Amino acid sequence: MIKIAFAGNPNVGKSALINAMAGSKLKVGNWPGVTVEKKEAFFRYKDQDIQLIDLPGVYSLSPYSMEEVITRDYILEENPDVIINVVDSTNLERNLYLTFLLKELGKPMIIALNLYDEFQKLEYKLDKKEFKQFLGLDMVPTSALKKDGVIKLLDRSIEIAKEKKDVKHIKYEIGFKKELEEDIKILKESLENDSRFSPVLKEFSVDYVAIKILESDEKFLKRLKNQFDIEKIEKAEILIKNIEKEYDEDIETVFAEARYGAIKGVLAKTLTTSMKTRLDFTDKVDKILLNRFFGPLTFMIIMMVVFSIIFNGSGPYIDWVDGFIADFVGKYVANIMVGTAPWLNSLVVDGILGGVGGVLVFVPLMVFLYFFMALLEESGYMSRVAFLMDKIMRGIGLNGKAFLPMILGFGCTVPAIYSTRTLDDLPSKRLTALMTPLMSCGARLPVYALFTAAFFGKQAGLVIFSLYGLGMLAAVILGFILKRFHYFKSEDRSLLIELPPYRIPTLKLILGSTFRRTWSYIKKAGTIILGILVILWGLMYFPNGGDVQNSYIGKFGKTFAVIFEPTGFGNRWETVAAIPPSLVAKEVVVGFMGQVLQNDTDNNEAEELAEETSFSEDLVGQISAFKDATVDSFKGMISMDVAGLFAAPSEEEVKEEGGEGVITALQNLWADDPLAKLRAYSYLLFILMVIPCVVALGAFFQEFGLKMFGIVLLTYTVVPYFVSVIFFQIGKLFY
Amino acid sequence: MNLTELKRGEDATIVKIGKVGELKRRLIDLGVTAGEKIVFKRDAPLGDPQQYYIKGTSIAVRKEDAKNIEIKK
Repeated sequence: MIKIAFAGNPNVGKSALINAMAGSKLKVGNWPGVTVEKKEAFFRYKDQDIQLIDLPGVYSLSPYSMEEVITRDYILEENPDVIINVVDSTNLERNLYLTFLLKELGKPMIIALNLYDEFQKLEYKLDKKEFKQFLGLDMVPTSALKKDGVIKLLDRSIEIAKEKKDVKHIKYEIGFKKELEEDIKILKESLENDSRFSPVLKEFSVDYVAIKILESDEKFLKRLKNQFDIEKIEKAEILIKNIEKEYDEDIETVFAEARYGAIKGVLAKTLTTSMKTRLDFTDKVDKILLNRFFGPLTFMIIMMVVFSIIFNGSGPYIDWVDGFIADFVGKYVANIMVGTAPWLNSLVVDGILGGVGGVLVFVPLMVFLYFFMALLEESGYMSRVAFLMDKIMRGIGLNGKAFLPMILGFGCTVPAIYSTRTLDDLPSKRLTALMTPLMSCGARLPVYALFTAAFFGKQAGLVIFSLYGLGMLAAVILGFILKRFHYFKSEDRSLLIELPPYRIPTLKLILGSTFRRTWSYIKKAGTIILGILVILWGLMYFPNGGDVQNSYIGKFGKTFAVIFEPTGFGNRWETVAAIPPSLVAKEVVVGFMGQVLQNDTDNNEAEELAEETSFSEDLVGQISAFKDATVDSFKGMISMDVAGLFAAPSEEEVKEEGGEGVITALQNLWADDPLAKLRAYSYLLFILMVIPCVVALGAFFQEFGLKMFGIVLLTYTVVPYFVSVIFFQIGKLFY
Repeated sequence: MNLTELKRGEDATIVKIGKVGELKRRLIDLGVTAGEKIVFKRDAPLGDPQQYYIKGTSIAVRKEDAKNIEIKK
């Protein structure tokens, strides 16, 4: 098998290139233990097994950022047979910096001169023969749109892999300044004569070791100490001191500038540019999109459009999937289960099938989300969002890129969590994701509607509005507290990002990314979501065969209500019992309340006697429903109806979900209680802040792992409890 | 003078990046090195961060960080 690793700067069309090469074979996953996306493909080409690995887009190979460490560790430890270094041919000077760093690793390598069509459009000229000679590397001009370069690149890569198969370390000329080359040489000689270093030099090339030691590369020095027990390298210390003194700069900078110097030297002899630059078009667009006045305006329009399309566009499909699973699949599964024990029947139909439905209803939303995420990222606008919103988001200790997740949170917490992928560093991703459940999502609206209808009458609007506000406030406070913990503390206190050239991404690239990521959601998050849903089903079903009042959950409510006494709502066990089911989805509280308050086990599934329909009739029905959903989705997308997404359901809709008498029954919960409003509001605060639904939990688990999962459970148990207690206890004094 | 003293559309040559550390290294990775020409494009609509062009790359830097970059016209 030939292992080919892709390395390159961000925004150089690396994904498009690898897409063009691997096509549908590309799979997406994560690098072990971190939330950096890993793309990989296995395929056969000309009778050979090929493995392509997409390394994270990086500017450098320092020991400081996760992506950079992944890249360099992969190259040093997994020994790819050849590295394809993808460079933006229209911006060689900066792109070659990474090339030089990669060269120092001494592995077989080839350059993909990508975006070569743009290079030609700019009327730039490159003396490829000379360029090749100076760099010591072969190269192939590519553009993802033209297949020929891609095939040639693959062919050449395989050839190089074979040629260099038995070479352990390749010695590339870097071409540092003479003095520096001299220092490297001195250190090299001293290392070669140092017995401590003989095992090190078996693993790494002497050039690499010498440069890393001279550069005082933290991670490499640590490794020397831990793995080889080498701590003090006197020769190097003297050399470093001299170099720093001579250049009046720290050693890292000296080396970086020497690399840039070498690049300048090569390009001066080989590259002819014109008056045009790759930023000409981008500059014109930025004049509008980053304009003092039009910038914020277009930003708001774009955000509204994105928000509206994601949620209004996916809505009809979500309903369709829901119906498809419940009515169509459900019907036939129920048919098969006829005659089995009631618990088994309920396990399969309500527990497992219901759980599968719970996972799959989110698929349309994921598709829409990932489509827009890819579009915003690949087009170059996502970085502009960060640029425009940085000042506001900085106020709450995050950087501009955290804006999108927060906004999406008002629609649904699940896409909000996934959209934190666009942030740069892990602690910021964690913190932002952890804050998103406090952006009150759409599923909480029915609960608000039920309680405001029962207790607040005309003040309903004000109550709901205040809940949104308090959620945001709580998020900000939580952020300030958690930032102090190492797990959430971002080392990266600055916003230093590239604002890449605007590009129109190909539909193929966007769709590829969308479907791969969606599939990964089904596989990774789906399992855990299904698991929790089945457990919740069990807690609501047993031990009394579906009688919720006396189920484990009912018992939980009755037993633990006393703990919730200080929150105000805990004097009624029903409200407490509704908390675990709220994990299924927040709106479930409405149906659950209907069940327990009205002593009616089945009010929201009013069993209408369905007409006998045949399988083919059902299938036709589902297909036509899908067509309708498609039409509605289009209508929804063009409606740009954002306000509608925030409209609480009407009383009729609440009654439909919870049963005709649910509002009256709820009023009776605290009838004649002068503190009724206070208790109800305290409960709404609790529902707003309590553990997000299982799908969100699944998303936390998929993106951040078990520890984060635990932190979320803990945070969103402690926070709502104390908020409700404080609210109620203080409220009581003034009421 | 430091980078934030540039007016819109003006360019200057970078002399030195002060304050050693993580940010300095990242600036260098993006091509911000001594001797290089840098152009100030614009402030963000809210006044901060700022957009600059350097080495054919458009970058966003916060003012507090740009202050550490010494330039000469």
